[in-house]
Amino acid sequence: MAAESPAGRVARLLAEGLELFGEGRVDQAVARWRVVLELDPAQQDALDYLESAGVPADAGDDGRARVREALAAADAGEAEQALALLSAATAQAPDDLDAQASFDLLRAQLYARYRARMGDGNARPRLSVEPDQLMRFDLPPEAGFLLSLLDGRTRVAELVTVSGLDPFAVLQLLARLEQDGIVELAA
Amino acid sequence: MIGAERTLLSYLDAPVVIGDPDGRAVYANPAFELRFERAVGRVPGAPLAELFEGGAREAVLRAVVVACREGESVRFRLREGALGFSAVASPIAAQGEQVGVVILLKEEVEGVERVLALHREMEQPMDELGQVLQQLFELPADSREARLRSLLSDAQQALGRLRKGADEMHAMLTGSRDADPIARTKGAGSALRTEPSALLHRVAARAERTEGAAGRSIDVVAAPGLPTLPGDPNRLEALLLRLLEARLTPEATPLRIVLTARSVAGSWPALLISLCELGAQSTAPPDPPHLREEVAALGAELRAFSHAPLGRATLLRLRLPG
Amino acid sequence: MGRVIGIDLGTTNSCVAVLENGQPSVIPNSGGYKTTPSMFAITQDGKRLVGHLAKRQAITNARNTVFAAKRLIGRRFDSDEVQRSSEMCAYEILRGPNDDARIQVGGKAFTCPEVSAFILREMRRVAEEYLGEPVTEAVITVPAYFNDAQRQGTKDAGKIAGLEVLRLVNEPTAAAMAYGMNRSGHEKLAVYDLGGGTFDISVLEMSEGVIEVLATAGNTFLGGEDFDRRIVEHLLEGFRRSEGIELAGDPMALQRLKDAAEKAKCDLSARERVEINLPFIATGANGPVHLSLELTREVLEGLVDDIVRGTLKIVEQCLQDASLPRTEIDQVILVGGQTRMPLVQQAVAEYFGKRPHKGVNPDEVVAVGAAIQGETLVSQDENLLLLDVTPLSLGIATFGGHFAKLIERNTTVPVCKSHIFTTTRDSQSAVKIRVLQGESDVAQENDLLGEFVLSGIRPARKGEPEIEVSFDIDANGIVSASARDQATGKEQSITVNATGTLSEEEIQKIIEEQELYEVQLKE
Repeated sequence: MAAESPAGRVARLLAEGLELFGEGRVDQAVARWRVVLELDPAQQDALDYLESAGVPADAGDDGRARVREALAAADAGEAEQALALLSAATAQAPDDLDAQASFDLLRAQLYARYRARMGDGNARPRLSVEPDQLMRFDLPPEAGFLLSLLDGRTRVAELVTVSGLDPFAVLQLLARLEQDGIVELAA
Repeated sequence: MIGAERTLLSYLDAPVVIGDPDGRAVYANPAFELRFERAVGRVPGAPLAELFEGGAREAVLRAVVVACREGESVRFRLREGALGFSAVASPIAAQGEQVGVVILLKEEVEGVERVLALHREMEQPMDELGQVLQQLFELPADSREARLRSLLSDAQQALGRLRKGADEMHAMLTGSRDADPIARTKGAGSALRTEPSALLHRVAARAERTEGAAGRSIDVVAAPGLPTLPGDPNRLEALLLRLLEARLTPEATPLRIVLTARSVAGSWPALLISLCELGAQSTAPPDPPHLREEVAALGAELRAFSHAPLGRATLLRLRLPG
Repeated sequence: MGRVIGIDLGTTNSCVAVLENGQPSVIPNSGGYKTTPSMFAITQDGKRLVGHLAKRQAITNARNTVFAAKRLIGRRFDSDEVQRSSEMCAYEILRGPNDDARIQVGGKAFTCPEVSAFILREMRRVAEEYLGEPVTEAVITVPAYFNDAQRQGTKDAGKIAGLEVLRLVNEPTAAAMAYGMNRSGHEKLAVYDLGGGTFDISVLEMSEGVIEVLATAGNTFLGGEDFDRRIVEHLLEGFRRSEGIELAGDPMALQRLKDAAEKAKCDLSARERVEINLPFIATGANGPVHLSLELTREVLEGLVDDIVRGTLKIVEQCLQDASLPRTEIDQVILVGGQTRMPLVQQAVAEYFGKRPHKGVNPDEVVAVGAAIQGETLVSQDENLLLLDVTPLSLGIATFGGHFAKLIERNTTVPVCKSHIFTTTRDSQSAVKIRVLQGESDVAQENDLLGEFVLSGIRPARKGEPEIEVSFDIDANGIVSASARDQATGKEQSITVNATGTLSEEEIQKIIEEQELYEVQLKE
């Protein structure tokens, strides 16, 4: 789940990929553009960039290759991109238990990271923009729902409980909202 | 029965019913008719068993048969609605011949009496369970498979009866009626289905209390509303706990452990439960004994995965119905 | 000696108050709120939530969130009210072994007193945090229309929550006590109580510190929640028309709509129009879709006018019971947050021909009155005497399926009355006394509170034995019944328990006419 819209995410990943490619970090750049193609298989810029990099647009049926790319991204500290790639890999090959296990492991690590960032669940998020400014952002319904629960008094752990949503999804969403300046996490 | 005896019985507060050798009720005192309404207007004449219903009917039939056959009194228990009774069925003999059977009932008062009666009921299945387990231990290894299944089935049935008694006892002690068989208005009970998120939280809570946890907390990442698993939740809970405990040793490097659950499609719909050890560098500890057999018995698959510096994941794939 | 707290255990919201230096204080919870939602939930991971947290996930976790348990307490499973609740609620309502209603959440079945006890325990905790000392005694309020079984269930809930319930007080009576604190003279009051889930109307007489309840009536399925529901339906319809998107099946959207509806309703009491904005409520073909609708007071009043008119019909009935024309009512006081609505105030004012008194906070007044009563009991202050009435007639079933009333409704409690009955058959050795509560002359149309058997009656011709049947209703409205054979002195008695079925000592049976054990009136 993303706090930004699909279009916004595509634009960001394309730009990041270009920057990484420029720095010579080809694998990581490729990982970004592959994620773009997961979101939009016909996204022309991503197809062009991959062609320029001399890399096929699709890892094809080689689920192993996808998993390797994902783990490479994770090793490089690009955990979110790695998770997106693994998500694609497991969707394509759901019976690949190694891919599924690596997906769970990476998700667990991200969860721990988000939780630590939120005071181990004790941070009290609140809106950092005016409510009437919210509509200029591009957010999914889950984000709207989560934002409606924020009051600066409810802790993150309680938000997970009352939202009824997947705990990982809640923390990831809050992390993205904080990153985008929509939410601030008070101690 | 002569008039004086009938009058005497009519003043008894305890329910009494008398049957002839053909199993038909010949007399029921007012106390019996008051508590077992279906007897009103049907005595004499109705079959004894038809004055009771459900499990009580079987208990009465069994007791009457044994009392007449053995010529001795038989004690048993029965329920009528929300009331419990201890009962005695005694044969009536005259001039060397069996002329009938009398059943005397005593309403059980909540408290010590009832607990004692329940305890007596629990003794037999506990004895049976003990015997089955003993036989299991003594089985030679090569004859285990089929015989094992048969013994386990016997053990489970005995355990079920034992649990029923224990639940009722617990209900009495706590004043809660939760354990009574409650008629439900909507849907089937959830006792034999596993809700994954609740299961993982229980496992985590139990593991955190073990000495090996050494104060470490275990995170659970599982969305509410995941598809439930059929079958006894205790087996899966026990398996996961064993897996966790094998990893929670005082010597182990402090790790963050996260339990996750999610549902996936694939060759068949499945629930994936992973035990993730973040940052674990070394190889996984050896599997607990018989782990693979237990996994297979659950119809599941187990996969271990590791990737430094991420850590280790032990994944369990469980088949979902449908 | 510890402090006595007053608790308004509401269907939708609860409130706790205490007297400090002779002045009532409503105690806020840690979030600063002076009322706490009467909700209990068990989350998927087994956490138990009470109050505001439970309310916030009430729709997304509907199956495991209990609300309005007050509607079920003390009722039989087969009663109309329980069956109606069962259709409305997402949580499961089960039949208990005593034919009471049980609530299943989180895989566990709870009795209704247990669920109410969770709320009471929370109110107790709030009070202890504020006062900085343990609290063990309370006065708890109940709707005036509550029957014996419901009152007993509430008392049991208090016991489970670790509170000794010194008194159960009718809610409008408590409100009148809060109102009468500093007043003198002689007045007839109408207390119009429209809360979140129930409606009560009572007619009281106050005279030099004595409050007497003349009559009471109500509807346990009518309250502010019905107003919220109308607004939600209006918003759903509006969104459906404007965007072509159906939100009714989306729990997250419904939770937001419900919260927004309640807020809009409250805001429209002070303003003529409000904007309801719910960004990112759904996703459409072109991206996020937002709900942005204006709601005016006029539209709101059109949506709920029939509900308000319905309350006035009940008011009419109550005045008839009190044999009072509306013109003889001196003051009208409003209780319950919903009475803040201008339409309600206007309708009540028009009906009685006078403006309702607004000197008391409608959300808190009942708890304040309960706190005053608590202080009265502890200090044994005779200056403010409270007389209450039993809302329903009490009697027994007699031969031929008739109902013999021993205590008429609206009789002041405490009260004790007796009557002599006799046997219907020669040599009848036992009688079954079936205690009923209600107004029908037909026994089986009334509620069975309990039954017991008096045996050992000496054989005699029918009509000769004299059996004295007595009823005792205490100040809390709890009923005890006894039967005594005048010839032998043998006696049997029961105190009716919370489930409306027999106590542990008695036989539990389904209602059916037993010609063999009926009694008839002794001429």
